[in-house]
Amino acid sequence: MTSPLVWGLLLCLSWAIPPWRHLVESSMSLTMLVQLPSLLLAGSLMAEGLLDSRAPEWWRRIDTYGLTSWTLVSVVAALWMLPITLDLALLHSAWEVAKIIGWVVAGVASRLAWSRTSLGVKTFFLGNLAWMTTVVGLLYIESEQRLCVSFLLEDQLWAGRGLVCYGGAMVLLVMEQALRASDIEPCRSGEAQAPISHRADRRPSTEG
Amino acid sequence: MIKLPVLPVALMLGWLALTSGLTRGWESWTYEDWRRGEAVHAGWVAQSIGVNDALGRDQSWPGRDWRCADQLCRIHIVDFFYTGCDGVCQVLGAEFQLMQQALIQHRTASMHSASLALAASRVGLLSVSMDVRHDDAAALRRYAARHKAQLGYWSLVTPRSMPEEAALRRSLGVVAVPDGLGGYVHNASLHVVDEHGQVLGIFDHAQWRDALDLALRLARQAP
Repeated sequence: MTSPLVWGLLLCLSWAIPPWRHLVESSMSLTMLVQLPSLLLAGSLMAEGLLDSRAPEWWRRIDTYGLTSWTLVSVVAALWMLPITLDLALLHSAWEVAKIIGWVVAGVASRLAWSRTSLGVKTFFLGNLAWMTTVVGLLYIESEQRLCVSFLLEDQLWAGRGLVCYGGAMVLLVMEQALRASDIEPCRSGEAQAPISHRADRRPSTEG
Repeated sequence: MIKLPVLPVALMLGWLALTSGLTRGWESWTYEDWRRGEAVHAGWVAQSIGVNDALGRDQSWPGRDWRCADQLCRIHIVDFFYTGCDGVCQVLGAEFQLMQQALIQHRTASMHSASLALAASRVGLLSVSMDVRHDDAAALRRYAARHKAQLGYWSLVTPRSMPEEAALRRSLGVVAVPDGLGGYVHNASLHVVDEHGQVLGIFDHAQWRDALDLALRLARQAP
């Protein structure tokens, strides 16, 4: 079976193929909905393959509760949702390189933090990313003018619709994570769920 | 005691500093807004290229020997267009026609203000075609006739080659995107440029009065 590292590297290197990159980067929707998430995924796969998804000790020390990793993912996402950066990446190669490195590093950080992050921290950051993505998507949809000089208005509309869908998907991911972490058992038919206070009573006592 | 998460805070501050610098204090969120400020602030200079005008003459622009009727042009108001464009290029053409009328009035009717008449005679309008393959001298003449362009006030040119056209646009940050229908979508803005090619202002095409006012003011101040 091909390792995640190889898949991650292949995914990352695929953006070095000029015709493929130019095809995707000629469209705002493909850039935002395909290229950027694929770079995030590439970073995530590389972290899984290289480090078995376990953060090295030095990173654990500076990434308490996964806060550093999630902040990094948030600032990278926030930066590349600005219309100006999307244009600059197409017009200046330094910005293009920064975009690729930024998203891959964000992918690595998110993978290393995923299993170490508490539900509360995950909910906070994923929730923030969800509303930010949705709001940016709605702005793209509502704008009657092209926000990027490198893309067409119709394409901007599709990018906006896609971002709103991605925002919704992130909300679903938060809910899935919350359900997974929840200690509430689904109610069986004919069996009433125990009140929370009773369940609390069943916890082992920590008093001596 | 609560430990301050130093790195996350540093990352957020870094993001704020980067976006503040990039967007000029969170005011220019789009490239076009940024370009209009940055071009003037950083002193962008238009790449000098060879062009052919509507009479088939071979010249270079920007250049100090470019003539506006009886004077050397000191300031140009420049737009980018192509003759096959039925959208914003026609609007730009109509606005250039209005600027041309204003220049003619200033030159001929400003007897009470000789300095304004002189300034008006130093300002030229220049439309640069982005369609090197199709916009030959005959196509430029047809466009000029449709918009009543008068030689000496308004020049229409096509760059000599596609690389030169791309180099000029790149130097001014003008982007043309194929619209899928054989045409282009592009920044519809007016560039106020001096004889050395330095950009002194970029305006939305609807702000042509502001562009003209700036050009006249700069032409007046020119030695």
